[in-house]
Amino acid sequence: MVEINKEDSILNEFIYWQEYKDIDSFLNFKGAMISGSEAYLVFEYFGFTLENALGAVSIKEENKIKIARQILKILETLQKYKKMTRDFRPGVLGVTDKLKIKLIDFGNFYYFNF
Amino acid sequence: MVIFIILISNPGFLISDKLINQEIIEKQRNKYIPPEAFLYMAEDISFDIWSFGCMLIDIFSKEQPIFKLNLTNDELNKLYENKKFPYIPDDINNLLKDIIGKCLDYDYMNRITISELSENLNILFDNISVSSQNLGKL
Repeated sequence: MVEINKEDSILNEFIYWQEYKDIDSFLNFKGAMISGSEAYLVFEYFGFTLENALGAVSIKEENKIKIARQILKILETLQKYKKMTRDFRPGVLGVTDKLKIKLIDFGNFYYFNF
Repeated sequence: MVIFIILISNPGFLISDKLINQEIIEKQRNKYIPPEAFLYMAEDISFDIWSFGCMLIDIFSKEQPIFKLNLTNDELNKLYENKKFPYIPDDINNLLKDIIGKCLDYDYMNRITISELSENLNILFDNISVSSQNLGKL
């Protein structure tokens, strides 16, 4: 359990998670609870980020391609919905032990209308 | 209002490194944002495409990943002004290096679009998979 200081930021995140909860490339949002002055967001569990994985283990070539393809898919999804994260890096991508990659942070999410 | 995030299976773990230390996160983020955003706070549709190019370097090069580089904002500023960041290592396949270079175009107007990127990268990956080539140094 972690305390967050940026209220606006997390409330925006809540809206985004709710809006995109069915998208496979994004962390699965289970729901939210408010109790008194505290709010809780509940997600599926990802134990590692891509930053953890790249920094710790040697990855086979075929798995590197698998990872890159999934990140590309996330990027395609973002652009399809006219969103940019403005913070797209290995630290915001969750990785499972089966090398499933998902976007786990909408912190600087932005709608573009160019 | 105090806000918490909890996880279903293990409340003791973080889902994102975002919450650990905001200063460290900003430092990491700055190494993946495009020069127009870092230098002029300008934003374009191609913002995340630049970041994706950086991540391709992290994934396919054996050199130190970008997130491990210890760079101050002043150092980054100089590198961006001189168009010298990020460096695309020579141990990456030339075809992939070319695609990464298009993601990392300093002129965001010329940066590769998502449709071009998808097409080029999928063709490259399909060919590599078939031929069992390595995207590291050939």
